[in-house]
Amino acid sequence: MTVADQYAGRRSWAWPLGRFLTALPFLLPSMALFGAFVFYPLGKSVYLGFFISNPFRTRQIYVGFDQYKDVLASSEFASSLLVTATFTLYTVAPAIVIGTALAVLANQKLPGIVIFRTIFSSTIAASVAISAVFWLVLLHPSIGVLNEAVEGVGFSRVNWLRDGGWAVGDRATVFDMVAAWFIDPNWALISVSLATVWMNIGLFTIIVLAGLQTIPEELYEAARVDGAGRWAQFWHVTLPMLSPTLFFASVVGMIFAFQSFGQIDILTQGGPVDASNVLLYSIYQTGFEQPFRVGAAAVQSLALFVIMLVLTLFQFRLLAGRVFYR
Amino acid sequence: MTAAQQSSRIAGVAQRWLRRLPAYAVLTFCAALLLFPLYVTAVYSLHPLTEFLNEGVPSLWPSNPQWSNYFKSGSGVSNTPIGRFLFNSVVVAVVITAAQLVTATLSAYAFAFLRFPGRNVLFVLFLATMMVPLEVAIIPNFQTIQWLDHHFRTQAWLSWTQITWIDGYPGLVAPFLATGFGTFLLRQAFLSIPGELRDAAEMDGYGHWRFLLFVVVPLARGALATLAIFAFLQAWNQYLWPLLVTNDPDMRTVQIGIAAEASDVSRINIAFAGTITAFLPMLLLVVVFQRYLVRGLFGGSVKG
Repeated sequence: MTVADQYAGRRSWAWPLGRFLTALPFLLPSMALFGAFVFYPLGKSVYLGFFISNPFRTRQIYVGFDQYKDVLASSEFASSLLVTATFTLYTVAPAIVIGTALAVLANQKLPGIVIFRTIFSSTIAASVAISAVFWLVLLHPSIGVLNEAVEGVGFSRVNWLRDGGWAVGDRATVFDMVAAWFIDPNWALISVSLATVWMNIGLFTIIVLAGLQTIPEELYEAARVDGAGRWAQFWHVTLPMLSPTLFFASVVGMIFAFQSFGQIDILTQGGPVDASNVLLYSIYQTGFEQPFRVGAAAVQSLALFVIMLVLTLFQFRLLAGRVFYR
Repeated sequence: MTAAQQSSRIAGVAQRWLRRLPAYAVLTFCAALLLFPLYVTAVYSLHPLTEFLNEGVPSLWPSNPQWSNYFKSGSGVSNTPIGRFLFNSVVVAVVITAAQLVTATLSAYAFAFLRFPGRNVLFVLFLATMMVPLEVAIIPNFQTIQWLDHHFRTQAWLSWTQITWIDGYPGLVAPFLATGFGTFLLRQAFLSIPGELRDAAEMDGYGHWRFLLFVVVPLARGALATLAIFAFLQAWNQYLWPLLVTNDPDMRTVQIGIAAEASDVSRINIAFAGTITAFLPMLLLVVVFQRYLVRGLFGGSVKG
């Protein structure tokens, strides 16, 4: 072995170690915290899923994958997935449509338009608890004003927070569910969605406003030269150019929908009879209310994790189109 | 300028404003609709309690404003004033924001300026933490905090520290002190700092720590501000975690506090006053720092 080889050997081992030791103090705080509160919990959830505890929580019984099978095949789990999917549908599309409309309105060149931009994006400042209380004020059974408006227009009063809609049996088809919606919609879930949409309007207005800034003015000039009116400009220039932004916004909205908890806890507590019991709320009830089925809650958490993982990967892909990587 | 010219100028201006009138009408209508829930809550927060006990819906105009609702506390289910909730939230949000700024700056520096074995693998792991939102990990994380709480209460060599994890600030902040999103955001900003600057600093005898503190941090002010407002908003708006780790009303954050108050009909007007009180500072913050918020939403790719 030559001296040069020895030197190279030293370089490939000792120097990388030195460089690693230089980097370690910079990385250690984050690594320790991620280890304790992100990666360890994931492994622990998988582990917890293998055990059930007796009602007095004195003994853990190993059941292996049986609990995974039981929880994921249960009708409660199917119901919470269906409610979460419906909630996502109710919240994402309306918030994006309204946010886009407000952003386009607030993107006009008018004196004082900044005031309207600020107002339209202001609901981003409202937390879930604050939005929920704002809507509790409107939907409350005795002091809510929305029922006055509903009566004023000639409809009958709605028991917003305590009407879970017409129950559909186990063997329901999509058609049955749609029909049931028209006979008696799930007002509890709609109420929770109203508060959520309102809260997200500000965020989506901000996102779409940022997207509008990236559309080159020349496109509008070209469209005007071709004789396009305002409406045609919106359909043929604004909307196609906004589509990546709207796509991104919808993925963000879906991630938010799957993380929703506070508004449900304040407005309906998942009720009536699970009508507004989304997956996360179900995890909370399973794990933190009697009889504390921690293992079952861990299995549900892992299901939520998989859904969130897919959505976040999707969001990264969309962002990668905008961000410059090195 | 002749009188005729002047009057035609005025007519032109008037005409221009007249043309804009429909646009303003639509904008105002939308703004009013959007702010309606806020308006009703604000009006209700000024009503005396009797207004809610009457038959029918309370008036939508504060005919008899009770400003004292905003300073009342100490009745009903919780004897905790809204000020205490706000204080807890400020402590929690400030600690989380400061900690995230420090941990993310350090790790972003390593990923942007240092070459070391395993850098790419570690960076992917840091990014992967963004795919594990806290909601997914509440069960084991709660068990961890419970375990810490137990040991800090029972073990003599720990209990002298007087640290409480359940019903204490450490438990409220612990899972949120590091951030994958912040690391990514700051790394993007640090990468735009020219490498010549590092070389020059090295010539002047700057080590990594001095270079970070005196060159990198001042240059990345914008990205740091973006991270700060995001961290603060997220910490302030938390609901699920504080609900799990606090039982004592005195340790509730403002979100849990107002939710609990709003469920108590005997002080509903005070609960509404608390809600408005909790909303206004956030509104101010968001309005003032909006351009940093926009930048953060797109992972730092938009020049705000």
